[in-house]
Amino acid sequence: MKSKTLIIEDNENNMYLITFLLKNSGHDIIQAYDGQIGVELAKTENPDLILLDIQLPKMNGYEVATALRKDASLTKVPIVAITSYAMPGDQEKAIASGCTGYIKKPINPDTFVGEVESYLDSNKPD
Amino acid sequence: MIRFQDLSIKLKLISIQLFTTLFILVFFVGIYLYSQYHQFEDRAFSRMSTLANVLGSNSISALLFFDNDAANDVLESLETQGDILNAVVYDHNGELFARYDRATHTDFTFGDLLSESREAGDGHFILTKKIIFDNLKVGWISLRLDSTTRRAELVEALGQSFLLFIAGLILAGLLSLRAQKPISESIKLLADSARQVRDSNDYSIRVVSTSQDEIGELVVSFNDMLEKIRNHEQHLEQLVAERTVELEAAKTKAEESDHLKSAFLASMSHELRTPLNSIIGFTGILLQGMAGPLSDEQTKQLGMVKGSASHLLDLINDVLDISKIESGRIQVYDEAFKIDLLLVMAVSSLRPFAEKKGLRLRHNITSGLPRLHTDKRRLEQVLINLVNNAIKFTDEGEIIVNCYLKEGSLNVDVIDTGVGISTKDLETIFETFRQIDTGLDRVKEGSGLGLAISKKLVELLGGTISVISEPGAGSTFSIILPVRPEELSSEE
Repeated sequence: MKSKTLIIEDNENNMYLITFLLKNSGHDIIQAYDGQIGVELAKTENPDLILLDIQLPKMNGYEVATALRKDASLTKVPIVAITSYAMPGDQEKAIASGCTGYIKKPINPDTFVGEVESYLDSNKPD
Repeated sequence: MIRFQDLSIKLKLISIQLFTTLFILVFFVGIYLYSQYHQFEDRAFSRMSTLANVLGSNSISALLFFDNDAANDVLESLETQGDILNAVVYDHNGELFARYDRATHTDFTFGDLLSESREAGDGHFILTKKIIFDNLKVGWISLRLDSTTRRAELVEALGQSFLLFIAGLILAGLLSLRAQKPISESIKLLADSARQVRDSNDYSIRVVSTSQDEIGELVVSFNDMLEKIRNHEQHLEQLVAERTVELEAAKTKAEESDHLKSAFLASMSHELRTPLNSIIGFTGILLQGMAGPLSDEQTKQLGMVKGSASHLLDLINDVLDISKIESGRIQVYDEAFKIDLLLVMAVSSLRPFAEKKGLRLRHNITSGLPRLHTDKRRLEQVLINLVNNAIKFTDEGEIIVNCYLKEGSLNVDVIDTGVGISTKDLETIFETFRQIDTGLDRVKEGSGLGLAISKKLVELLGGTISVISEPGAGSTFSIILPVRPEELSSEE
């Protein structure tokens, strides 16, 4: 299955890692290195899925998710938070700010693509 | 019966003064009446003596000239003396010469009276005197006086005394009423003020001193004492206020540093995970051959990198867990679930690791166990930790997980046939950063926090954890968790 995925992640190595894994499975990738650019790209590129890091420069992940959900064209797109699961309540906060789900960091390269695609599947019936 | 010491000071003072006055009055009135009674006789005889002298000398010429009529006339002058009952004049031979009798007293007869005498008889006094002319006795005169008025006079004096007595007492009463006022009132004021202080705890109350006597001194001391108490109280209040401010500052500081510690832990955890994400991710990609084929040696060494990275991740997770537990920041959820499935899943997930070491891992779950109300994920964490430890420290034999109900609590025993634990190590096995020196590869051992975390989590869930072991004879770790009574009854 081919899809357009927007990755919002500030760490270059992690961006490369996620991009590599998803490209390897045939997904198209759009990259954003901070929250602000992420929001702009989401609006112009209209991606099928957004992968969102929580600790970002300029706008954090929660703010990005909130901003995205305010855009009428982006209410349905799955947003998956990539959380470092540091403190209790982080995941609840992600869901509350508009994320569809979350994947725990560090990611497991063996299962990561499958997890990401499951969010695409759940969006398909729409 | 009212005792004197129970009377009010006012009544005490009044009664003391009244009794003193009464005593003095009784004493003096008694003396007065006594002397009054005794002076009556002296006064009577003194008057009779004067009368006898006057009458005697007036009768001299009548005696010398034997003129009875003239003597009788002289005696008649006694008419004016109401209490003289009878009077007689004798000549020098003792013959009756003249006589005077007051009406109704005519039948009295004088006895042998021819000597000077005074006689206090029943109801009368009799005085006899010589009549002397030119140093010659020319006759005798006798007077009889009615002494029955003495009693009447006494009664009259008694009546007067009684009036005096009453007047004295009233006067004394009035005086003492006024006199006791300054004493009893200042004491009462002091007593009232003391009571007011006791009831209101108001130490600013002061008593106004009206005198410089002992009561005045008492008032001054009382006021000084109140002043001292008030100062002491204010000092204490100030002290408490100061300490409160200090404590609040310390509390705020502690809360701030606690907050900083949590923020530090969260950011440290994130910062450590970010590079770890790349290490684990790229190692995985390389091992999967996604970036191209690897030699056996490269695969082996990359496997070691992956193992170390996983271990590092475990360490980070454990340190974060124990920090959260120790600072009370861990959230415990309360959900109802059946332990059977949880246990089977946990054991199944670890079975590959056991089988890799050639160990048998099996579970033994009693049917019909009640539902648990606890944090499922935390309980799973503890179970996995215990079974993982059992696999880690057992080289041959088997690991059995028993789950059963005992005395209204749920028991889970994890029994292994591993190296066992020495008595010395058993004491500290649940403490943080305690690891037993087993000589095994340290990379496989974990952070040394697993059992400490397990113990704290089990306690957080309201349960207990314990261990029985002997070196070489394996170990048994037991968890006991509370079950709600309603779940017990509904299952049975």
